[in-house]
Amino acid sequence: MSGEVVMARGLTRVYQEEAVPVHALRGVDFSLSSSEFVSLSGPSGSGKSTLLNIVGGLDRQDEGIIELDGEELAPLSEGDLAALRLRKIGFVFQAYNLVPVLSALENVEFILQLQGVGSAERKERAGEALKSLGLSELQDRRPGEMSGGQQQRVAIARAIVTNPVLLLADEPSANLDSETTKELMELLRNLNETQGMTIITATHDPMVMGYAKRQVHLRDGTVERDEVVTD
Amino acid sequence: MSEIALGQKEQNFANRTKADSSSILLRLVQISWRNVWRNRRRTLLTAGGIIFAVWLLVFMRSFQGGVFAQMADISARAMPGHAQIQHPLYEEEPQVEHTVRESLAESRLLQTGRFDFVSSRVQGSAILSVGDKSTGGFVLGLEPKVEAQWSGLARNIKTGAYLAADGEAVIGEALARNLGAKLGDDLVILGTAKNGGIAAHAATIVGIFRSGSTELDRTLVQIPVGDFREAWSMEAEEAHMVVGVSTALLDSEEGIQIARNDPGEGVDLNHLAWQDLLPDVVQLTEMKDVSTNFMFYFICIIVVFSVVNAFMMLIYERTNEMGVLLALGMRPHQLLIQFQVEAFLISSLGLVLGFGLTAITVWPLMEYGMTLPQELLESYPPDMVAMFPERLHPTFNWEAMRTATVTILLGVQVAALIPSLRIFGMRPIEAIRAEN
Amino acid sequence: MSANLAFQLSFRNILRHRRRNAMLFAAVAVAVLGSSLSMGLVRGWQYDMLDGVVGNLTGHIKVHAPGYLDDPGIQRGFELASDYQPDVPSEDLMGWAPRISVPAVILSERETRGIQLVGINPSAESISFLDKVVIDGENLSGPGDGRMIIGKELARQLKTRVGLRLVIMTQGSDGLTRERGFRIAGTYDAEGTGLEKAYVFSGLQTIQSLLDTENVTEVSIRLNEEPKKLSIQALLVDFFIGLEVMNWEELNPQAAGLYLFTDSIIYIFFFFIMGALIFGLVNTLIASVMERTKEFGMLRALGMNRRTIVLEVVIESVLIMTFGMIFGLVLAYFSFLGLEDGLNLGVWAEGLESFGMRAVLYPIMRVDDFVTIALMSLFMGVLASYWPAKRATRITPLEAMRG
Repeated sequence: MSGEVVMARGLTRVYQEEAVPVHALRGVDFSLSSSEFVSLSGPSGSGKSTLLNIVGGLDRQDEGIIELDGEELAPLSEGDLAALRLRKIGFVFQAYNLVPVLSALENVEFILQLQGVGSAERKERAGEALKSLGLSELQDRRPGEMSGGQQQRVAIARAIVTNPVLLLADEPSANLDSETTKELMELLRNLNETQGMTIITATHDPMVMGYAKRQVHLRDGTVERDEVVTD
Repeated sequence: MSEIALGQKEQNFANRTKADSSSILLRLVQISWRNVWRNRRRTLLTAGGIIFAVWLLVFMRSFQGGVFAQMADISARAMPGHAQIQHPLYEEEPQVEHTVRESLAESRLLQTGRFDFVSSRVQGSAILSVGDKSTGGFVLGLEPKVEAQWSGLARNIKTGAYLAADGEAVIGEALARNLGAKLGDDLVILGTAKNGGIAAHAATIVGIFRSGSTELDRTLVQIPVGDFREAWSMEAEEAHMVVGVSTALLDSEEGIQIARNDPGEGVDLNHLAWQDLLPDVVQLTEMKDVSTNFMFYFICIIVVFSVVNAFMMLIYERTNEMGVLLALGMRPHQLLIQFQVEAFLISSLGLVLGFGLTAITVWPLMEYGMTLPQELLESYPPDMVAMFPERLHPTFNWEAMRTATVTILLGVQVAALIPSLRIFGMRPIEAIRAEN
Repeated sequence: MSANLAFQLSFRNILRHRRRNAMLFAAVAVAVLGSSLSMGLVRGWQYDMLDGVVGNLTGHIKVHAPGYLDDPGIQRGFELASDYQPDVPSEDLMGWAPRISVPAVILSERETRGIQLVGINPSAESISFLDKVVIDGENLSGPGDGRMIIGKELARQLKTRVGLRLVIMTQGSDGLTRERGFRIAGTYDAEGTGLEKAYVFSGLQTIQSLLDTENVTEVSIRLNEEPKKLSIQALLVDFFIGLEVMNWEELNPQAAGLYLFTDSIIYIFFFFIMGALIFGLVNTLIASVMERTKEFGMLRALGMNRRTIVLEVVIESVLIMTFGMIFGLVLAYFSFLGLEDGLNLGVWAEGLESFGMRAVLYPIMRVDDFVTIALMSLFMGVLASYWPAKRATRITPLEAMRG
């Protein structure tokens, strides 16, 4: 068993778009150790989202190898992939990604419920996750009754409540103002530093990039730069 | 080693999932319920078609059922009674010698404990003359004292009075016209007696009836049973039929059972329930039911299309939400359950409101009855209109309610399923990014 | 100009949501098909009923002597010139028949029945149900034929058959009873046992000589087109001075009432079916309006007026109705072709006959009915768009930009 959370070798991904093949990834090598905080950046079409999706088990590579937490993803069925996402990965998407008819607490609880966690444990863990993000007072509100930043924090609570091995955030700041983005990123950094949460973000936003400790820059489906940031 | 460990982990995971599946189901129901409530307008509009279909079927069937039950009862009370016992051959070959023994047949009807009036009849064709005018007719010998208590015809005497004593006759209105007869005239009846000789009888016309049936009004004469037996050379115990009538309205199923409930004795008799006596009424009821069902099923098809359409919209609107849930690891069948529950909630709401509406519209009619609009009366043959009561009381049709419930529930689940199948081909990344 | 723009927007919007609008088209088509089918079947029944009433020896117009209806006897007969021809334009006249119809008694060896004895000229009876019945044995050969034809049911009740003789008793013109033996030439099967039990036919001249008269009791006239009955009735009134000239509606007011009521049944069917449809239509239109809150707000911001927005929603609704309707009418047309051989209602035959219907129902497709359905559907389309259009006009540019 390697200590690596993500190990990718020679990933290629080609989309067929209206008879023109689009090479989203052209042989990407990428690996990630536990407790790293990485930002994937690059212009539109650089392949950062594709890489994030393949790492998250939402998309499949055409060639190459991808292992998550020591497990190769290629042979897994759709059902196995879904189970794997449920157990090992926490997702944070752009805003509006909570179930609108469920309260904050219920949204967080729901993911534990999908995992089959019992009722008492579920409530306790969901409550703690919200508390750790300073959301205890909002736990009975529904998404429509919260601000964008609050919603995004609930989404993070939902992502971390399962103790995933990897947290993926796809353009987490897309619908947030800079003040809220800052708060959000502080939160992610805090998670990374205090709990050792492994985090990957994919973003255009320099502010988001700035919080990561390692920056991987993609261009035209290949890794252009991969550098560790030292403060 | 690690593979085994992983396998065990999977196993544990599967077990936990199984144990907690009912809690997930509850959560899915909760989500569905809140979605249904959140989209109140759409829910109500989708349920609207269902309410309409349910109301149509149950109200119309209750209304018609009640009207026809009453009509059947009134038809039975007009002449034939609720049940008859006849000689086994009499129905096919109504010959004068095909008789039953009065006391035996009467006791059989009385044994059931269902009939309040039981009496004998004899009947046959004859030439009827008044003065020098003659025509053919049908003579019915009956027990006036018993039949006067229930017979609709006895109440439809337009001039004069009903039979009271031997030597009297009442005749139909058209027959009186054809014979140029009036009250007090002597009616001469000539038929063929049981012994093959001439059956001759003279009676005084004491009443003229208008039964509502053109055929009866044109041909029928009623005389006391004793006079008939004497003229036709029959014995005192001989009857062509024994008629039973109940003061209570008989429901259709029961009617059959009473009549067919043969206590034995080794005597072969023909038991006729009112359904046998009034086949045209029974068939007309079925025909009305069929046309109502025809409309109902057409409306159901429309409802199904509307529900498919509504779920297409609903799924379209929630594409992003579903994409996120799928990405988080929710399985497509769990989403499917959610939509199926939503469909069930919508159809249940439609059914409950539909039954509510039906109850609100049927109850007052059941309680207070209603008069029939003139246009409706005109749509029925005059023979039947004459038998309609002043006020009609529908009866709630539980069978129609069952039909509506089953059809709507199944139809809506299937209708919701069709667009939901899209979920299985849905790719989470695309769904999350879908624009709407 | 704004109407044209509204039309374009509506049309593209429908195309944009092809799949869900396809469901609506299907619902509209089913509704239109259901309405057309029920309309066709009810029309078929209506025509059948009229045919039954008119063919049942009534005709469209009938001439009697005054008082005959109250006291139907040969004393209430009238004289008809031997070279009489109705004064009716020949293109309107299907045919006419002189008859004697009197109450009589028929006696077999053991049975007696009251019947209506009708003297006819068989070749003139192409206008009545006699033209359509199946006859076992032979039909009457002419007005002088001395034999008779009787109903199958009557023959069964009298336990007699073709070739046997039965005695008929009736009153002559002098009021005295006449008796004569008639040989049965044939028995007729008229589906409804009512006619079979009631009518016995023989030659007109035979009956005239039996009753000792030159008169007839009725002249029945059948037209090619029912609606012309009133104008032609007026012509005949002028000719038959002193006689009663009545049309079938006057002779059979119940049937006439039923005939009229049938028209309203057609509309009841239509509104029930369309009522169910309208919920789905309103549902989709509202969703379509809500989805386009942004679009409408933008259009309003760009200066589009409320009227155009209302127009867009109304046109969208009417377009959906029109597509579905055309499809439904085409389906209905083929369904009618499929039902050309009639819909067999044999199971309920007895009940239907007492209702004046035949066991096989032939749906009738009338162009004006199709047009009515089409117009009413379009009206429904406009009606259904009322609420969604109202919702659309409430959208303000500001609200749209915020959303």
